[in-house]
Amino acid sequence: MKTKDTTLYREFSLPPIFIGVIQGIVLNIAFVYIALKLGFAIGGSAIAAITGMVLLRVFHPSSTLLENNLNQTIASSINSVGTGITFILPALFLISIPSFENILPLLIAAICGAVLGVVFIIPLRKQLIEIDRLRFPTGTAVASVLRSGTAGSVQAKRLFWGLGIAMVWNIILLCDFSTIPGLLEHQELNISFGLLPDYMTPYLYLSLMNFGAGLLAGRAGLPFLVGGLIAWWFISPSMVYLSWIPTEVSSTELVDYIYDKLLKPLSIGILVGAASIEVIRNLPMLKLALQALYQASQNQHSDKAYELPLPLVALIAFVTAWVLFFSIYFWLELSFGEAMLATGLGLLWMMLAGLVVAQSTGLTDISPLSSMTLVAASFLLFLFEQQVLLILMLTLAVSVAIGQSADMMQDLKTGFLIGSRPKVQQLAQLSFTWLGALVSFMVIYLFWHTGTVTEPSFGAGTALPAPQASTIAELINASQNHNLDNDKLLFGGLIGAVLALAPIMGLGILIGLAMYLPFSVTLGYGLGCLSHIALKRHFGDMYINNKVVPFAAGLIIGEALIGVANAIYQIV
Amino acid sequence: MRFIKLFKKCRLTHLVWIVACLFALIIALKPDASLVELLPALIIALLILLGYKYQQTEDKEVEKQKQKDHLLTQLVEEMQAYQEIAPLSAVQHWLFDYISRIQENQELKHATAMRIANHLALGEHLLNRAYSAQLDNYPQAAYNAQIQALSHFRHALHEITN
Repeated sequence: MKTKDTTLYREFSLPPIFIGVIQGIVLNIAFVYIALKLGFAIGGSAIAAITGMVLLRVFHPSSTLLENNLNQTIASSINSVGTGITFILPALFLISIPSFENILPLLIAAICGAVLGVVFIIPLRKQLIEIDRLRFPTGTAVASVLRSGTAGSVQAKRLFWGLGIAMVWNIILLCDFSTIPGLLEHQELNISFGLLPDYMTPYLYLSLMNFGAGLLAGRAGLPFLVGGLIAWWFISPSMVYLSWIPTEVSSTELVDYIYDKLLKPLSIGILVGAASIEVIRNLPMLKLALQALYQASQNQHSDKAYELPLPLVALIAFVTAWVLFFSIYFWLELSFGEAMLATGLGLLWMMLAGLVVAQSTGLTDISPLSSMTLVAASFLLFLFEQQVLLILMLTLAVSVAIGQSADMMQDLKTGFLIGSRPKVQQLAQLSFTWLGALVSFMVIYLFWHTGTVTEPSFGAGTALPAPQASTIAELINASQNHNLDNDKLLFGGLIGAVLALAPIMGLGILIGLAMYLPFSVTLGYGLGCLSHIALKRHFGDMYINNKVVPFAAGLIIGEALIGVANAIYQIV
Repeated sequence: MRFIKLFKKCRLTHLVWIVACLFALIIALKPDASLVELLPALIIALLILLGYKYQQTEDKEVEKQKQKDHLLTQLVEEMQAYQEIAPLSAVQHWLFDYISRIQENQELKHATAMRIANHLALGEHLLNRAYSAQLDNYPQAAYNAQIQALSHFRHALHEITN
């Protein structure tokens, strides 16, 4: 092998930037369409890392893995913005005929949200990654991908074994012959064996991606399983046993009633309550982290090369916040005080929800982005009932911002594991995130134009149901807090606060999240966590790092690739 | 037998806290439940957390010296091994394990400990960079990163011993 003489380890050059931008745009278009069609988002970092590996080998053979990391950071910064936008923007099209006058302020809000989401989370890198040492399963998986590609080592074989198994497994599950009525339907295995009632939702989601995420998280993800068990194997039977379910609810509607009317509002309350306490509890830590960052940027030459200077971060946040404020103030004809209040609340929720989503992604790889966005929309609707455009602008900014916070932190974790300088990644994310907003807007606007007044392009019953945006549109149309039970929210908030005060990191968030998601998902994830613990106990840390992590990364990526392929196949 | 041992380890207060939280969850879902019905369970759970915090503060002083001595001994031993050019992957493994355990030491939440954590994190980051450079076949860059990492570990050691 040819050895380089230079001491300069290259992590920045034009080819990875160019490839990252192209990949980001392509993935953004694909993921926006998938989110409109199927109502879920797929993380693009791993896919960008794998395809980047191939593309860089062809177009830039001397590339380093740090350059590939730069490529995946840029690609994911562009494509991850699409998710937040697809969850909100179609609501505008469902409520009224869109015009340039109301699309432009939304575009500005989305770009501001994307930038603010990145700058708000940058000062927390030290705390979340270096001090709290959150696992970020996907971030860890991407690091594994990057290393396996360069080394061509045994780890690559393990990764590709996981990838192959997940792909084959997913293809089998997608085939009609794998459906066995009563036992295996919609990729969920019935584990009741005729013993457990339906209201305990005895199903196991046979997703290897889900299992792989648990396998990467280990012990830290266990409260998530506990939360699911509490929700469906304790609360649900207790509700039935105590006869607290209205008699008019039939047995077939029981699970939906327990979820929609009881667990969902309570879990949203728990998430919000726990989030508030987490923020208060993290204030001293945040102060120390900021101090350390500031001192580092002032005193130590070595650190200057690593971190984006705090004054610059603050300046970008300040300018962007003012741009958001002025776009609200001038476009919506609000009073100065109203515009200040609305912007202030939006910024506060961005910080709060951004931290929560980043923590949650770090602990479990599952992001409560939808619930955080829904809470923001409900709260803004309560305050500014008649200002539909304001509600959409702020909700869009919040949705995009918290998505960017989680993505940035995930990419920084990958960077930490392979030794990239955070400064390079932060600059890359800040430089290209706006492009993602622009592409997503253009894609959604183009899709809208394919429909007519009698046959709209979005919404229930169409080819592009856009479920999250439809919910926001319904919520706005109802002009009130339609399906959120205020009592349950309050009680959930108090319980979430108590759980968050417990000396187990992220307990409140994990319990709330587990109650919000289907038990079949929680169970599969929990089995992954338990397997991690058992393997660690039996074989030790080396085994986890060298064998389990690349294999689990392969499981995640394999299913994501088949998911994309299947979505494209369905759409075509 | 293992289950019984585990159960004995579990303090009564922990059980009461769990029961109080479960009770609160159930009450919260009761039709027409009021805040007054919910509060007793929440207050009990909160009081237990306060008691736990108080007990933890008392235990901390005793644990402080014990943990410090243990970590110091270990760090010195491992630093010696590192200086004898231990394989990079082995050092990374040790470091990850070591930092995981030092994170559990609540003392790290204080200002001095923050500096120690900062040096250790920078050191680990540089070791990761060295490993990547090694994989990319940049031996000189890998060596430089290793030297810088060692410097940070020395600073951490200096902070701990002082």
